[in-house]
Amino acid sequence: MSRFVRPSKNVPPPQQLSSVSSFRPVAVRKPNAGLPPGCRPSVQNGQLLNRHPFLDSHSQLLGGGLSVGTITIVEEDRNSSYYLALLKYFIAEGLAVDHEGLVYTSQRQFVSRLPKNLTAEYEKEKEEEEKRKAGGEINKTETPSLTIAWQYEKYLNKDAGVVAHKSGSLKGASVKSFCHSFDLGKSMRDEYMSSKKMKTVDPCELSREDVYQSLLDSISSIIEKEYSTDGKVMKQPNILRIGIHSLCCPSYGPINERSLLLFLHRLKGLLRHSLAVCMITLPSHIIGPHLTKSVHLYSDTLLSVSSFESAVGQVSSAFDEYDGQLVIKKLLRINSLVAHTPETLHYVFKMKRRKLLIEILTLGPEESRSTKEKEKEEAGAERMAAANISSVACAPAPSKRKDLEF
Amino acid sequence: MFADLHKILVDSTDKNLRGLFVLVTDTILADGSFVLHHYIHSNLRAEKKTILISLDQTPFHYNSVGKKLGFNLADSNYFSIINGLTNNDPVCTYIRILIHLRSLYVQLKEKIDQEKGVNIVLDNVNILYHMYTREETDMFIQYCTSLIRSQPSVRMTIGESNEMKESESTLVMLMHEEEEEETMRSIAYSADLILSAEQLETGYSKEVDGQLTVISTREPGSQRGKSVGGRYHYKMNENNVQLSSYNSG
Repeated sequence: MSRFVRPSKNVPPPQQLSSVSSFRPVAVRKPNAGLPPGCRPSVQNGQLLNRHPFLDSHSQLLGGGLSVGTITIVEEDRNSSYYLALLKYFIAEGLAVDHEGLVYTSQRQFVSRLPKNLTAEYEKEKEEEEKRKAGGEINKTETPSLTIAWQYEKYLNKDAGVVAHKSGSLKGASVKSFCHSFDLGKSMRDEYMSSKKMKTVDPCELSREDVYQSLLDSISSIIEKEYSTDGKVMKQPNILRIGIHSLCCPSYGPINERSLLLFLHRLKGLLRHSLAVCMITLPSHIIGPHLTKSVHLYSDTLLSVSSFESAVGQVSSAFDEYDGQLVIKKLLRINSLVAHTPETLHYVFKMKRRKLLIEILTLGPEESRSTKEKEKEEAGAERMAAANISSVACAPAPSKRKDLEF
Repeated sequence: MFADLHKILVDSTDKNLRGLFVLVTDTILADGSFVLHHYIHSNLRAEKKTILISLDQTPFHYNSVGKKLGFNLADSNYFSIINGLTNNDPVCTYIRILIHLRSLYVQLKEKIDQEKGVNIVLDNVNILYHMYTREETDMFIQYCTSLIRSQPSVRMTIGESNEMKESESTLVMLMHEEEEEETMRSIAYSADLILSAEQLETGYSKEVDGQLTVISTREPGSQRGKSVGGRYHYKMNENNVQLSSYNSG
């Protein structure tokens, strides 16, 4: 029977039927009581969902977040680093909800360049303001202001106590918000980072003998210490967010196919029985199509990022305002036959005021596009003609120069 | 289990075969694992011994799907699982499997020895190709095929009717299309029934999950069912798979 224990969630034992038969008042429980912070259960498969600020900004995309115990692979683009924003968002959101972060990257500035948490700053300011206000109110209550209706003073103090209690509970709820917004242009403050659990490992520090085995050992030692769900009841469950930046890049040494695939297979098995979620970015253009396809097999969710900058001239003018494209290549299928089915698999994104925005890729009707292009072409031709006229006005015409040469 | 699929499979299966080797191929977006669930559950309902070699998903996943289909795998005496993904399980043989593929075969043989009409399900064969050499994996598949062909058939009730029928041992194998074409061809050559799930040619659709092509590789003149295969659209629900004719839209 132990074979079928739920791998990635601490589920309380089911109530016995006998206790259901008698009428008892049911204790009201908080909806997410006992769950790790920043998580909510999925309706579809019961897995815990972790928020990703960018991918969840479009509710259709992944059905509510990244599931605990799964691997998400992001295919990197050749000439841009938008994929890196996805990884940074993933880690930064984890830190915002007090998850632990574990990042394997050769970029030393990775942590210092994590986006600034605007929500935390805002909440901090608000808290300080409330404290100031509360201090003012206490001073006020010390001097009773009821001079005419003085008999009601005893009721006023009681009401004030109730109001204070209520506002306190509300304040407690608002301190930890589920959604955070980040500023990609600014980096996290050091004092904010110091209070968070975050570990960064350079792949060059791993053993050169079998780099993927030592990578796995390093992850499994952390998971087995605190995050494994094998028959343990955790008092304060928390989530570990693992980010692997550019797996198979030259920092990992020469690629050993079998070692890499064995690593991914065992990582998948390890994650299934732990409160951890993993995001890997993969430079697929340097490892070849065959190995890329094999790696895809071990992913639970597969996304591909490509920027329009690297394909100048090949992208339609209809996408001028966008910076790149995001394609879902594999949908998560766990504990259920059915996967979350989004409306479409193709999305476009753009940088707007230091924030990455995502939209569904849509093309206007063929006629309107062609007319727009025609208009543009015409406008371009007119501009050229105007330039020619000016050149004619300032200098002798090229045809005349030809005549002179002969 | 899935009524539509059951009908198609019965129609396109050769009745004279001794042991049935079913190859299921799929792509990264068109998932073909529902065929495996169909074989697991339809055989367990008929009280036929079923062994699942699970390399891609946890036992919890199969049990969770099973519960949605109305069957508890954990309570079944006819079901056993060889867990090749996670190594935390006391019953698990993960370490032993990964040392040598022969030990997996020996274990399989021990489990089905003295049994009549067994059902072996392998999810999925690509991982074996990644973990071992190609020769070793090819050999394993050949051994498994000859194992089910040598098992004696059993008389049992199959499907809705109470009629007693001869039931053969089956080997069901899932394979993703990423593997080299030569490898796929060589496995398809020894398969009796090939079911390939693919994405729709017209692209992604929310209403249809993909298309399923059924190919029956039978000897000419053999006792055959009504059809020799075909192509269908499929849509998965939580507890059913709907199949519709390819041309009906």
